Amino acid sequence: MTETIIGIDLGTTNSLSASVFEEGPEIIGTAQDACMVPSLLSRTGNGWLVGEEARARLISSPTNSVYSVKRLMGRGLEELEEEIRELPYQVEAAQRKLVKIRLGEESFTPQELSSVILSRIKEKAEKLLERTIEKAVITVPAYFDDAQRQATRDAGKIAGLDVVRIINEPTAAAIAYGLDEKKQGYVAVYDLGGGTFDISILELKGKLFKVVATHGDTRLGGDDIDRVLVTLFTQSLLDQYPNLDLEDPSSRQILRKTAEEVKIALSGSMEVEYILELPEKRIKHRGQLKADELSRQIEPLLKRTFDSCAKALSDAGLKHGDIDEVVLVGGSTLVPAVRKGVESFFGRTPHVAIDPYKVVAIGAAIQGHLLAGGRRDFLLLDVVPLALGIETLGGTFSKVITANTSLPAEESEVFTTHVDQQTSIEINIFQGERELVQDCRSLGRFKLRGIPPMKAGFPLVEVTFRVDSNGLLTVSAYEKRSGTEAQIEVIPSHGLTQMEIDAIMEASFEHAVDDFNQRQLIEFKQTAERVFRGIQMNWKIAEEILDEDQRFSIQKQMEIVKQKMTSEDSQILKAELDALGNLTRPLADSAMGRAVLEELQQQNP
Amino acid sequence: MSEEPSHSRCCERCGTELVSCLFCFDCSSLQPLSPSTNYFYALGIPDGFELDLTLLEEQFRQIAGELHPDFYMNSSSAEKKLSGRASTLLNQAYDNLKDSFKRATYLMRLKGKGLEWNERVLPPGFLEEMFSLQEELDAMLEKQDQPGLKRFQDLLDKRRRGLESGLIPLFRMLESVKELEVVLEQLQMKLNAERYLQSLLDRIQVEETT
Repeated sequence: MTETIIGIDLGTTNSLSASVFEEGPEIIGTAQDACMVPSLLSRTGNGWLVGEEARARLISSPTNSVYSVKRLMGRGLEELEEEIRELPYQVEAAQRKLVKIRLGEESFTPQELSSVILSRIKEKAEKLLERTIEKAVITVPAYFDDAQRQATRDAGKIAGLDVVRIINEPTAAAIAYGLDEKKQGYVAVYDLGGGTFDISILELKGKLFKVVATHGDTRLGGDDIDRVLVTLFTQSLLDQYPNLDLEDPSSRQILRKTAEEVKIALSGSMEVEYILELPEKRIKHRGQLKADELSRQIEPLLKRTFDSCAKALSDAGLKHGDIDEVVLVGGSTLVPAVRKGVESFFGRTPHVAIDPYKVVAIGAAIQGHLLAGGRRDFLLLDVVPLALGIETLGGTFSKVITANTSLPAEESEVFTTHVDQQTSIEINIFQGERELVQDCRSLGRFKLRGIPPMKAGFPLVEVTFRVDSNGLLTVSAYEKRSGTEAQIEVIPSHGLTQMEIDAIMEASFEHAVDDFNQRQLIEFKQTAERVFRGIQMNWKIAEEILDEDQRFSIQKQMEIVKQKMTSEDSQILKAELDALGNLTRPLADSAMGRAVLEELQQQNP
Repeated sequence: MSEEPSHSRCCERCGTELVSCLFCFDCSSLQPLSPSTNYFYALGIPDGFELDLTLLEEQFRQIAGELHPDFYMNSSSAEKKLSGRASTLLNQAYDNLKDSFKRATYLMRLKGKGLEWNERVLPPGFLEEMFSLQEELDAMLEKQDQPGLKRFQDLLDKRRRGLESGLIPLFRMLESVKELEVVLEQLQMKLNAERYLQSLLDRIQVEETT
């Protein structure tokens, strides 16, 4: 049997996992108990609450709770200004260009927070599949750059998962559909998720799947529909209570939660009645909303998605009519207005055979199955999504690998020094499509040392970019005239170093030890109390069968155990409990003997 | 570097003559890589500037569908590595042959081995013309003159296609004449000119995406 590589859709609002079974690919578990976790977290004194169990705390303890952590993955504070303003939790700058989320006294990187969700998924999958899971294919939005992909990989690593492949969400959806229906031709995948919009056009030909164009908007998604609704609710509340302040975290959460519920309800009916309850303000407000009104309000949002679609088509050199199939992904595509809009834009009825919530995880599971050696009848040809290159003189971006190059890829460029006798060059690695590095994403930098001193322009430094089939970038360099091999230190700008990952893993391991200690402490205290009760109940027997010294030792040891019960170390308590057990053994033996004897007498009158 | 006798090698394992030097379709085995792999042989298509793009595409799909590292995840580390390197090479071969200017450059390097490669030779009058075009472009970018930029882009595209159609007769001549150097220099001029045009086109595309 091949090993199991599960597929995980690590989403902005929900995360879920699928696997390939004998009957085919499916979400792990049953409809009642599926391997699905809302992407919510809450920090308590005793550790994490994850998923559904954290939901209530979004409202009761908003500053200790986190949602939409995916939006922060692999990004710096300066890029996140707009997002942060919308979030009730605190985001702060950390080392390099990393951010951390402050929850009470502690702060965590987005990678750590995502790893908590992944750990939960892993645990659940293991329980449901009854086997250990070590490897996974995780999906990310098509527009994710290298730093964001790396952050996702690191989150997996922290959760104890070997992320054997990162694939694009729309690509995963196309795999699930294409293989399900044996389709050929051009497939457009329209993905409107919680926080982001993606359009991808894939070509399915023979056994090869190839992404021919992607476009997207990182700040457009179901949350924006919620926001439109929140604005409507706020207006409706302010009409009635003109001086109401709705900016506090708790009110914002209540408005957001109601908006989500109303949106979902409107997918199934023409009109919905809602109640806004703000207990802190002693307000219970009723209102109603028509589906038509929502459609009208989200029109501008949809227009933005279709602008992206048009760009993707033109990048692929295709016309609307060339698209053979349209696939919908993401919970927001359940909104009827969205479906109608997509249908009229492409002139084709979109596919809805596979649940848009599940399709991405299922596609990832199919890719996992292939990587595990389970099938070889299709192949996903992945490409470099955005050009990779280095900074050259004057802050210009010099591309080494261009966008859409098939993976695995390798390219070299030769560069030189600008100053006489220069013995080292700093190489700054960027990703993007623009002319100046200031408009591209910084992926990291490294220093090439040990160049023999020469006149400026004389050294020939060959910089080689390699991107393996898993999308992992490695950059190396050597000076050709002297043959000096470069010493390379890659310092990720938005990512974690291996040392940092190790430290987090160790800390979470220590944490696990802590948790274990806590549980044992509780257990041993309970045992101690039971033992005390037993001794008291049998003290009469003790007076009969034990001498005074023995009884004194037991009483002294009981005092010691009582004292240790207030300590925090479960192992010390256990040692003293064991000692008490040894002292009371003769008593226990005889107490048991007597109980047995009494029982025997009852049975034989 | 001696030119590999292209398109005539046998499978290391079963001895069948190979269509692509990267993979034997008869016994499904990866082939050892040689340091000077011919891109045409990697893709199993005949040498030459004029090629059948449909065949190129078909061959690429066929071979990529066998070589890809995804199919060797559970193989020995040597095979895993080989499939990665062979796939990288196949991708490079495909990228270099698909585009006619890249293909021309590759072929010139093959044919003109040992010749000094002159990056600067350009068709007579080309540079002067480009200088004035560049000034025009700068002004249009400055003003964000979108219709003007579009016209300019079409003009450059046309020039590029003109250069492209001029390549075929030169490559045909290369097959028949003795004075390779003269023809090669002509080719070089065209390729250098194309690079120049491309750099101008890149600037326009950059502005479009902002």
